[in-house]
Amino acid sequence: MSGRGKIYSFTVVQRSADPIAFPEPYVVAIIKLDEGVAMLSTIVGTSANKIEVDMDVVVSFEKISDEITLYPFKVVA
Amino acid sequence: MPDARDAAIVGVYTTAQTRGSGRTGFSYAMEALRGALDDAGLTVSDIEGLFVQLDEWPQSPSPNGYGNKANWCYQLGIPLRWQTGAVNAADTGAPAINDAAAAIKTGQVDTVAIILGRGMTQPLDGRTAPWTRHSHEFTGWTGSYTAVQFALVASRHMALYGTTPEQLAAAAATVRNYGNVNPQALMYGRGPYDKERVVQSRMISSPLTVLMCAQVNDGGGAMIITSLEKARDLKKPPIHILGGADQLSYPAYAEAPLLERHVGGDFPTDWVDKGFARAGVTRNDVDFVELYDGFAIWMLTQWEMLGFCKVGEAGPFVETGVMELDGRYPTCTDGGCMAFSHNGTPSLFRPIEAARQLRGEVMDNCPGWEQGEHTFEKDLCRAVKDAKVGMAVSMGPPTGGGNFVLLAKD
Repeated sequence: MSGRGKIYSFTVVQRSADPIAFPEPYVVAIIKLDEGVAMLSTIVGTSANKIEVDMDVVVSFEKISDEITLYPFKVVA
Repeated sequence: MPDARDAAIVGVYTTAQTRGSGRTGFSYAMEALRGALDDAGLTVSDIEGLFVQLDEWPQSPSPNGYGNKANWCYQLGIPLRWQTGAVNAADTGAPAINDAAAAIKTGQVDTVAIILGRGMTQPLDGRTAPWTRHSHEFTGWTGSYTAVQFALVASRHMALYGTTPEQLAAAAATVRNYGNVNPQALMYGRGPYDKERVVQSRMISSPLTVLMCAQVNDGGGAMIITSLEKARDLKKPPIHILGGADQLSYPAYAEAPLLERHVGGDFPTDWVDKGFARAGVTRNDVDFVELYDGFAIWMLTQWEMLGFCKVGEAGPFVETGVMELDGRYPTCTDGGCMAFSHNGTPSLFRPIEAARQLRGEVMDNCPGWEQGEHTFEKDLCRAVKDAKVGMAVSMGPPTGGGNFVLLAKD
């Protein structure tokens, strides 16, 4: 897996089910990886109003604890 | 020609749809069962089969939350000869009716009751409905919940086909306006709505605003189904169950909701045509449609899934007013999940409303509604003129599934 792909669709969430864990606003996106697999993730590092469908993205690993590492995506400049 | 073993709807009932009553789902379901039996002119001892969906059972919670069937025999004081269980919230609607019709046709039973109820639905933190907070390994960590998943489908539909927020809003406003003139609807008298009001309401998860999303409320409903042979002796004219179909093709919420796993992809769509063929009617025969309107985008994708318009064209399709009372297919004529009720398990409300339209029992603001006299003016009325065939859908995942049942007047 290259960790690269495109934004298939995204949403800016203004109403969080859990505002402590997920402060508003936040972006949830479906990423279609170059290898063809689709996955749900988030987009970090770009303001929500600059995000568009079909943008190129790359995975960025975020270590939460020794056991847990999350995999948000960043827009490729 | 109808056969004596064909199935018909002979009793329907909905409780008050409300918030904060403190009543349990069990209480709503029992009221609804009594009401539907009375509507049919039957008693508990006539029931042979039961299809039930509750959020709790007071004596003996089962792992899936829908109650142990043996408890129901004990509660009702009758043996049950056919019982099946709701696996997810969709099952209590069209699939339960189709199953019941099959059990009646094959002679397993004569009379089946379908009941549902849910109470104490208001989330303590006021954020979002308890049933929308799914937690799955590969999606939960993103902050996804039900509205987010539907928003992702809407985002893709907009990017691929040019669908607009105004088109989503047009569908939601139409449905909410039916609820505005339905005294039994949770949101009765809260309109009128236009697409500007819907678009400008509070954003939940773009592009879905709060008025493009369903309600959160308590309530129950019930339906009694029996053989046509037995239906002929009952209080009201039978509503014929012509047939239907369902298909499941993707694990909702646990995976990313891919539009092409639903419409516009290579998943087989022949299940809809086969269902119409079994029912012996075509889309041209359908006078009105009770879609499952959990979110505005799901109405658009249902029109495409069911073949009423081409894939990608649902936005312009709904914008022409097709869902209005004077449109080709009046839709969600009780106000739907958006304005009538979404109690977490509202699937049966869609076919109940279809049966009421076909009976001509439509409560609205028309002065003569109790005599079945309607003005057919949109600001007062929600009765479909000369309704003979109705379609009801009872399913609500963002992608990857659907179902329907076709009903007809005697």
